[in-house]
Amino acid sequence: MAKNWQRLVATAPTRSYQRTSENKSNLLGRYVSKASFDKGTPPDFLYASGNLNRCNPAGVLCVYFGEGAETARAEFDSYRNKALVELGFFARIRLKTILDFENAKTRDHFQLKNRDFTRPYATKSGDLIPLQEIGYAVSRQSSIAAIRYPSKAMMKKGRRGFNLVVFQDLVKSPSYLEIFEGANILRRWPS
Amino acid sequence: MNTLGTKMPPLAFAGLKMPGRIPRWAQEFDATRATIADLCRAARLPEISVLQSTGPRQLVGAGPLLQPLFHILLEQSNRSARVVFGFQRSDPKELFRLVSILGEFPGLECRVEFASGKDELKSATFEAMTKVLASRHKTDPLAQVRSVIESSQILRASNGRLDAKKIAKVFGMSLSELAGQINVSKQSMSKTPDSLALQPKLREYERIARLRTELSDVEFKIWLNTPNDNLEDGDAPIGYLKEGASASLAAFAENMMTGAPT
Repeated sequence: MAKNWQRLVATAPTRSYQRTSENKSNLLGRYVSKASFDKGTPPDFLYASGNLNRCNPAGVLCVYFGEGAETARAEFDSYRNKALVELGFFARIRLKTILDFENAKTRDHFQLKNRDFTRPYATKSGDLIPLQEIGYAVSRQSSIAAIRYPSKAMMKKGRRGFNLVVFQDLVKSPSYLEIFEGANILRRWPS
Repeated sequence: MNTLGTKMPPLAFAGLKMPGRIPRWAQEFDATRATIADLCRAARLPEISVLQSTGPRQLVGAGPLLQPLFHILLEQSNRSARVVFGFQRSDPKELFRLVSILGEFPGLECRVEFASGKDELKSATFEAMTKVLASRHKTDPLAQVRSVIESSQILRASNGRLDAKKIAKVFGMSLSELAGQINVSKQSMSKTPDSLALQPKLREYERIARLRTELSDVEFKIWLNTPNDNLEDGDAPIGYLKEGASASLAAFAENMMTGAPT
């Protein structure tokens, strides 16, 4: 029987979340290839393109970060077999409510197995994987603003790390997300 | 119901005082019932809100109720959300009332539809759903990046359109192979490789080829043909193209390019 993802999201364990350190390596991070995006290009692609990814179907506006510089770098490197020069973007965040899949109770609530965090998310059939169904259900409610889930790239390195996907429409004051590069704040949600 | 990693837009049927009624044809979609006041209390509107009333007169009387809807629609980041007004009946003499209703949505008139009677409501809602689905694929901030624009020049004909022959060459495949992958005849593709009809199908290939901003031509072909454990069954990217899954592969390539954690 198909799962009622909306009901599961509505009844899932949640928690608050924040990363506001002065030390960039402890903040949310995202690296992109310098060869593709020189500094003169406004990084609009970073914010929320609605591109299909592990926790969202196409068309759902959200942004992904690695938790801490090491995880962000591992994610960037995991796609490639050669070292590239990168540009780094970081984010401070404070959210009232997130789904955290580090929590075993949350994983059990959705009956997720380890494989659900590592299986290929871009399916040939276009069928959604469970995390994409959950992300879609999250995008349709109003309290949970993000999903924290294990980083496959860090697992491959035998390390432990997490990613965070933040849903643009669901970040409501006093919660916020602030993306910056160097000393410049590039984007703040809510605006 | 989903197609190529996307979802049919959710529908909310809202009545003035009572929750709206979900027509039989809408039951196969993700449809919910609400009152207009419920929608006004929500942080966001569903992608399609169908506001039902006996006629325009009843809604004009509800003017103050419509203002919060306008503000929610204006402020939410999903620019594709639409409102359909469904009347049981309306009269040409009531046109001025429709103008008054539309006046509650300044600047957003193109996202508002009117329908009178069951058949028109079905057509207007389907049209709104189609526009929402189409708009999902228009969000393409990467297309504004200078290096991406430059890298796609090689795929385009002198008129600016994507050219199947040039795309086949960059992907290291024959025109017949490309035609087979996107389900068109080789003859028509060969005759007009930059035809308008081909553009939507070639667009996914252009999104994939953006990787050439960081990969050389040879590296790009190697990437296409190398098994990748981030893809289904550890398949090589070219396997996705052969199975007609170019949209999924384009999404993957975009995440790769933008360093999006997966």
